[in-house]
Amino acid sequence: MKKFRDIFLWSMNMKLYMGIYFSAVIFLAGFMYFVQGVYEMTFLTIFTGIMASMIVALLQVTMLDARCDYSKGIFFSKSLVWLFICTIIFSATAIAFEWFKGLPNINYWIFTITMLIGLIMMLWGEKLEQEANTDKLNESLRSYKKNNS
Amino acid sequence: MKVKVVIDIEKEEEITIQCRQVTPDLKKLIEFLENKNQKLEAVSNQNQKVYVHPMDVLYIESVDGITYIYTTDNVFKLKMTLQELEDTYQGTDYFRGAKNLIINIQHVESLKSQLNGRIIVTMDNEELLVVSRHYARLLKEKLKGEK
Repeated sequence: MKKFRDIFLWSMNMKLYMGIYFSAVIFLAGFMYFVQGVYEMTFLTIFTGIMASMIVALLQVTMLDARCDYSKGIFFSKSLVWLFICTIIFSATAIAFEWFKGLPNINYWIFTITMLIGLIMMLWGEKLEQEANTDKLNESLRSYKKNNS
Repeated sequence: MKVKVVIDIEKEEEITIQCRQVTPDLKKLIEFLENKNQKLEAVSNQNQKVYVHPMDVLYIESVDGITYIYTTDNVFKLKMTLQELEDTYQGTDYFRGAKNLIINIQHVESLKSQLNGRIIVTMDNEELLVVSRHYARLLKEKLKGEK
């Protein structure tokens, strides 16, 4: 039962990340289409977008597991490798499945750089969450000691 | 039940309970008061019997079935099991942080949250201990006064 619960929690976490990345991919690509006068997105783009997001999320929960300590910064060997691989995945998927077919090639660069910034922001978010939880805990500890000393 | 506290710096600290009968709640209270100050009988490295005040203990760890108590500058062996200690010191500053660990919250310097729900505890002597995810939830409740 404990193993099942752990796997369930792990997969829920993965799906949460996957949802965030998928939303980012679709929003960004959609916005880039929109400003260039394209008002439709192919099923292939959506499908490959969700697949790429799933791989990135899987890599995140596997490589950057919860033991990672962000207190000293978001850039450490594992996170740099993850950023590099994930940027390649998003970029390669966009190029391989011609997400911006008929549009200038600079779109691939803009998409890749924006997704990289998004991934960095995700790590920053993890750091902030960890710091906020730590602050809350220490506040409770101080209050406990004050009331029970 | 009336609770009366008389502060007199001249006199020795003393608690007198006046009751019609010893109810289970009262029994718990008496046990708590007795245990809170009862010294732990331990054995030093030189096999000498020593008595350690519960408040001087930083943490208690069980390794290979042997219970060790850690103070700021000493380690002693204890005859009691972690479960016995947990039962005896229920409601005090002692907290079960893992299957093999009891921590004295009064000697915790700081806490650090990890994303997997575990908590890294820095003790007064700079030692680091890990509170597992299951017990981390209980620790949060205890710190908030819910346990």
